[in-house]
Amino acid sequence: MLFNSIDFAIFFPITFLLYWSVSRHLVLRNTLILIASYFFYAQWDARFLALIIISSFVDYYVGQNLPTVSDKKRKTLLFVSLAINLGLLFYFKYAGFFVQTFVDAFTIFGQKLNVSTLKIILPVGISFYTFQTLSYTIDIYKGNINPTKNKLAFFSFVAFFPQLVAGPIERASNLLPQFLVVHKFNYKKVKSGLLMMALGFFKKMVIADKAAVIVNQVYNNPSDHGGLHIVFATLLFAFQIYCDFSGYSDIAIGASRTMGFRLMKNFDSPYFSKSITEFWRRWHISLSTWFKDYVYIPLGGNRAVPARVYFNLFLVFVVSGLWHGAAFGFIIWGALHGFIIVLEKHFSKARNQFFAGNRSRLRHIIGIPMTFLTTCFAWVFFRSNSIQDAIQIISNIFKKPTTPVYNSAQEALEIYSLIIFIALLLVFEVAHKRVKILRFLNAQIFIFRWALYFVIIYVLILFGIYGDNQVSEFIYFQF
Amino acid sequence: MKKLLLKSLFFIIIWFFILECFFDPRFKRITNFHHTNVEFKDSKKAALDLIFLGSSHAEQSYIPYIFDDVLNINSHNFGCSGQRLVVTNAVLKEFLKTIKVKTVVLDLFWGSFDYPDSDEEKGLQLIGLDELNFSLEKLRVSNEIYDFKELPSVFSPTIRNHNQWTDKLFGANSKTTKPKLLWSKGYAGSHKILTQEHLKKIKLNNENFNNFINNPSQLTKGQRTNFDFSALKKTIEICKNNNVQLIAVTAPAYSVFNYPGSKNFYIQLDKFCHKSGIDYINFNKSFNESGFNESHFRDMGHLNTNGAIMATTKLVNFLIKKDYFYYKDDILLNDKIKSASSSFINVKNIEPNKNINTWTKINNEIKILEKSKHGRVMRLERTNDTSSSYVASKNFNVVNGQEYSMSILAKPLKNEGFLGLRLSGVYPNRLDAVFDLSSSKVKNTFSGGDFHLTDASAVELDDGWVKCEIRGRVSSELVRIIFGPTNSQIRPGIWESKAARIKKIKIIPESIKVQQAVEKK
Repeated sequence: MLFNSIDFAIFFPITFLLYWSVSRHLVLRNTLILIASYFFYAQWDARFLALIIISSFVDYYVGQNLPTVSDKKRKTLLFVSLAINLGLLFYFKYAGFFVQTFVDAFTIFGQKLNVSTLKIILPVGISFYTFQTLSYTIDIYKGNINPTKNKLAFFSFVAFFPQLVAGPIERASNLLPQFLVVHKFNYKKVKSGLLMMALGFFKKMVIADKAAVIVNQVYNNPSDHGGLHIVFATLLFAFQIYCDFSGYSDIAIGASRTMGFRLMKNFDSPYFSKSITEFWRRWHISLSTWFKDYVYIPLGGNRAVPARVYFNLFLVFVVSGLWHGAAFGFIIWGALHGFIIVLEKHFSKARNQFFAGNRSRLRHIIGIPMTFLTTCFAWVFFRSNSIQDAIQIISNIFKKPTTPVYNSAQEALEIYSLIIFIALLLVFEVAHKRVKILRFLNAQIFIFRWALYFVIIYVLILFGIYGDNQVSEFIYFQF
Repeated sequence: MKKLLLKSLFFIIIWFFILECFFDPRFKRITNFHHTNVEFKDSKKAALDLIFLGSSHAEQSYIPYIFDDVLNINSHNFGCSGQRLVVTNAVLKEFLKTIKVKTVVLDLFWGSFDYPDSDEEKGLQLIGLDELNFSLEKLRVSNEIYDFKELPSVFSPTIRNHNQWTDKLFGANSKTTKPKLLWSKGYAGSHKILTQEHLKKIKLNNENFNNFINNPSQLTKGQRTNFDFSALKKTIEICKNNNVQLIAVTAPAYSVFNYPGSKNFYIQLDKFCHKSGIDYINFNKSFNESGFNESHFRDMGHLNTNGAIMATTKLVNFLIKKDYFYYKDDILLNDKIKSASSSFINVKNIEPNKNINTWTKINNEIKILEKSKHGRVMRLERTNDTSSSYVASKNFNVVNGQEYSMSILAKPLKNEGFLGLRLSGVYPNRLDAVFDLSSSKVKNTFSGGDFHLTDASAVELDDGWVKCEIRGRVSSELVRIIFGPTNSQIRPGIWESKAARIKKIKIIPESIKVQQAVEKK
């Protein structure tokens, strides 16, 4: 089920009302969450519910047994959990890609392999819930948390519908305990949750999906476009992917908040970062911290010799790229980020000295646009349909466009409105850093607040992309 | 929780109010059916003697102006494009709650009984449903036709058409557009005639046609004979409950003869009406006897204004014969109908100066050729391919805001040729069309400034001449005719601009015809 669909518009209020009517009875409440979450997922494809259930069972039983067995068995149990979870992930997400790459590699050397390419459906959200359950097992293994004995709570934690298919990738230490306590209805929290959801819908329906029209037009026909069109489409893609993914996170966080759950922050105005290192502290925070805690630190983290640290960093970003999708474009995207982060780390002292004292403002003036443009360049590999397309797009930047981006005054108006909405979002993010919007709103008179709510609702209705054949999936569902 | 629920309820009510009162009227599609409803509501009539219901067949076949004039009654045509009987019933039911009606003429064809299941058919039902206020009946019918997920779009034109916000909020469509050329109490007429393609198709269906006409009551073997008339049963019930007389009709249409099995449907419909005690006239059964021919149609399924006058005449006679209404005038009935009809087609001929020697010729050479039955033929050739080229008449007077049609006969000199035709006011006001004379097709059209093009057509006559016509509303008091040879590459709004290798064409200046259509109230 998509957040931006009529199904969710019906499903969510019903779940919300039922949830608060049984919220005092923990078992009933968690049962309701579990049923609602499985129903939510089954709307996409009920068959793949089995994978979530398998993953939940494996990690629940591994978690139960880890503290009670010997060290050798502990390692075996951890291996079982890793093998099953990563095995499923590998099979559904990467098997086809690696087989195809293998066949292609042989073809390059003149050998034709008769291997039929695997056409496997990628189960929505598998990368997210797999990482979430793995973190539970690894944390128990490390002794950071104790296993839960409440099976229902654990299954609900794995399948919690707001963040099931595209995160944030929650840690058991944060989310699981919330399934073990009764939540009290809090009007202010519900209100702020609803506003958060509205912001998410705005980002997704009004910005991301509108931007997608132009981005797709250029990126799906790279030979027809050049110069400013490519630059414009790439800038738009930067906002499309940000609004698409952070929009999803906002809706997930908002929906959870209305039910008394607190999910971790997943985005923190990443395009205002002054370096790529900072960008990754603000972009998809739940994934970056996951990789830091479960890949980078176990590899040695910062406590190794510089060369090893650089290698670890680079490797983590290549793996992160691969996590996003089984394609070389994602690997190059991850490698580019990894390479720049290594460079930043290597020159960090020199940079800090340069920007010290009177030049500290320069860090903002130079750093923010430079970082933004660098991420945009990397997005070219992320968005292009193939490496060849990405190369063509980059080489076409200096060519004159041959096809117009818009054909009528109406289409031009759509583009202008999109630019205005992006500008409004950026202003909102800057303002939100200085003044908490919710606090500001609560200080205003009733009429002002309601007028603003109506404006938000009507902006969604009038300018949003929705309806038959128009509802688009969130980009991060495919990862 | 109570606070949240109460506030939410209050919020939804205000939201709904804003949507219903402010946005929905702007986003609603302006259709003929909308106009007919607005026109009727504005008349503030509480009773009507006769109404016409059904699809576009009803809308384009029966002229209330003539019924009113001849029978001295009040009638209105509520026919609506693509409307299926299931929606017609809802419209009728809701309509009868506020208006007293004596007689309903319901136009039925095979499609009337079809259940709207394709996107296009479902979309067409919204034309009727949009005009109904929110009611349980509307909810019931909508729920019956549409999927649950489609209901928000069904009930709110804003939600349905939100992706046209540029047009609806800022574009020309935000202004109220006027209905079609000939508009009278819901009747939407047209002067169009059949194209060569239509005529070919009619010839192909000759066998079905003859079978239908010659053995109107004999079922065709091997074709379906069972049909579901439950929707009509419901119409009869609604009329009975409201003490309304119901007459079923089927307007003449060549499309009826497209399918060999359609005759069985009409035979069964006839039987059903007979059994239900309602009068039914199928004009297709007596197609030739009634005098209908190809000149009475605008397309395969719809009558043009001449045809509608004919169908109206037949129906007036039937209503009198069956004592639904009485004719009380002293003049002979036929004379009365004739006079009402001619006063209805109130087309005013405008006579611009057709002496082409006095016209402005920019980079165009005109050479007189042979004479034809339509007038003297002239050859038109561009003399320059580096600047604009055209022939322009002197300005002539028109009525600001009225609808005009302008036509000329043209032909390619050899195999290929394109004609650019324009009715022009002060720049940028203009109606433009480019015609492909070799295939008798309209290549492109364009409306500039405040002029609004409603139609452009190219009809090949039997001697190979092509009647090129443009129609539209002018917003000026002075206009002129501009034409010239062009090609298919140049945009229609600037067809006179410089271009190389433009083929010569032939025209007949005497055939130039400009007409003003006077709308009837």
